[in-house]
Amino acid sequence: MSLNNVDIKRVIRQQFSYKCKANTSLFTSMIVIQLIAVLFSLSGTGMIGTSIGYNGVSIQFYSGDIVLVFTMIWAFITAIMLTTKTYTETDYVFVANHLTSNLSNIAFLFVASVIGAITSLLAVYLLKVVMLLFFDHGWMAASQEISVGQWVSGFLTTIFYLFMFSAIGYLIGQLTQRNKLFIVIIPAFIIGSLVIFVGSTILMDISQFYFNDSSFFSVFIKTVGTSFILFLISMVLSNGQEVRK
Amino acid sequence: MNVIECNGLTKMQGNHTALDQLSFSIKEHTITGLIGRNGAGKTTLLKILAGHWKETSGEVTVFSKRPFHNLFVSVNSIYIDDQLAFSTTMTLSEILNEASRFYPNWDKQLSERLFNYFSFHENQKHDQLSKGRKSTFHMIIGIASRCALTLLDEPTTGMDAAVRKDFYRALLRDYLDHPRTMILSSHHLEEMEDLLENVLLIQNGRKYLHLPMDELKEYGIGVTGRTEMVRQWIHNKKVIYVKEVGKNATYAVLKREGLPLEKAKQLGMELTPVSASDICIYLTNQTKGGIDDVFK
Repeated sequence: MSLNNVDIKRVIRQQFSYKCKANTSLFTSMIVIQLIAVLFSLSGTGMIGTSIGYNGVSIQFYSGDIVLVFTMIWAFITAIMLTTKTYTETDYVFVANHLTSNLSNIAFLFVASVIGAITSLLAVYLLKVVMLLFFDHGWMAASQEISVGQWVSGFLTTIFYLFMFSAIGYLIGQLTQRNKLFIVIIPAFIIGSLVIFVGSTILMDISQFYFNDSSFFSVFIKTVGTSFILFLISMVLSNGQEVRK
Repeated sequence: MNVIECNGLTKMQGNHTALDQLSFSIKEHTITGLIGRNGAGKTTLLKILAGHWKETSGEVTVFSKRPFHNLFVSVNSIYIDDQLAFSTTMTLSEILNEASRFYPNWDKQLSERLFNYFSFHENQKHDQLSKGRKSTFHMIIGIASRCALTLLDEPTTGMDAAVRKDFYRALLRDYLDHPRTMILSSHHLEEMEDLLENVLLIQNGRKYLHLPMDELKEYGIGVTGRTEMVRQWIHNKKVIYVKEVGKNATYAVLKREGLPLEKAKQLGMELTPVSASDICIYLTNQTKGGIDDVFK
């Protein structure tokens, strides 16, 4: 029997499409999480009220931020799950090596981020519809009118943030796969740093660095750059590891 | 051409030496039975050949390449055992469809025919299958993928006798039409005798024998006779196994090579051939005495 040559790009494509079919349940969980987030959002984020004589005005604020936060958590956990034995073993049933397995995982996480971004942005409209149908508000308005350009840049940055959270999850997953001690070390490290840095602004600075940036281009560089570095470390970590133990 | 070459292959798992200085080579287009007791290192060897596990020391090549995470080896070989993991959301026919996209030599017609012959349903899920049914399904993937190197690790686990028979037949038929290199590890050597060309017998991670099947069948000879006579006769000879049978009679298995068999016959001892399966069991016997001795 003659031997077949192998095209690495083809294998990555095949694995990617295999993953999309095999991991549909991950998207079901995403929808459930987003619906729960919409439910939480219904309570509103704030309220102000005033009255003059017998006439009163109360303004209730609603926001889709919770949906976005929940979707980030979902992206984070999904990435960790992809590094677990259950998911990696399905890769190595067919043609695979470290490189194709990791790259197809990253491609899958990117697509998951895109889908997560679309649905979480649309969830805001769901929120509005629910408001219109089930709540007896006298008047509804968006706080700001959003132009198409803003919407698109908002959509893209949502993708980048989700992708970055999946990169963090992927690295944590690879670390714990490499050594089970990290299951203890990582939470201890996070809690410990929260305690140590309680007085300093370092945690604020980090979140400011990533989240308080109005320039689209700068957000793009920061998030995609961070994701790239994190994925690279993950790939180096998983290199040389045995599979199907 | 040698498809597999191992030279001093050693695999450590913690402090345990799973494979110990294993050296052998396997030629193209042969079916080799990998035989050994539980824990002999069969799975370890196959996983190293498949590129899943890394050798600790020594040299191993598959298609003249080091197999560990080698994509070329991966596309030209397939490793089948009873623990293949599949998505719980995919149906069996979807899984076969995906497999066909990964392996260039995949025979779709054959996989569909086997699928129907063993009466699988298209919409069944992999985790709903019983142990034997899983093995049967994996076997379909193993055969239809037509990989130049097909590694089957105890492929018949859980299969009933009828399915096992069908499986060996299917394997042989497809092998004759599309010759490839196969390694089967199994406990059922007696069932595979007609299928195997070579036998690689390993014990405690070491190579014990690597022989063509025909030579293995002739490897040993059984001698039965009065105990004193047999005991005296086997003295200074290569004894593989001795057992007392009945009153004042002993059965001994010896290496046939260079034995004065005519003389044994003249002494009134009965000579019987030893099957390949039995000789493997006797050769790899690690226990002192038999299981009966435990209960004494």
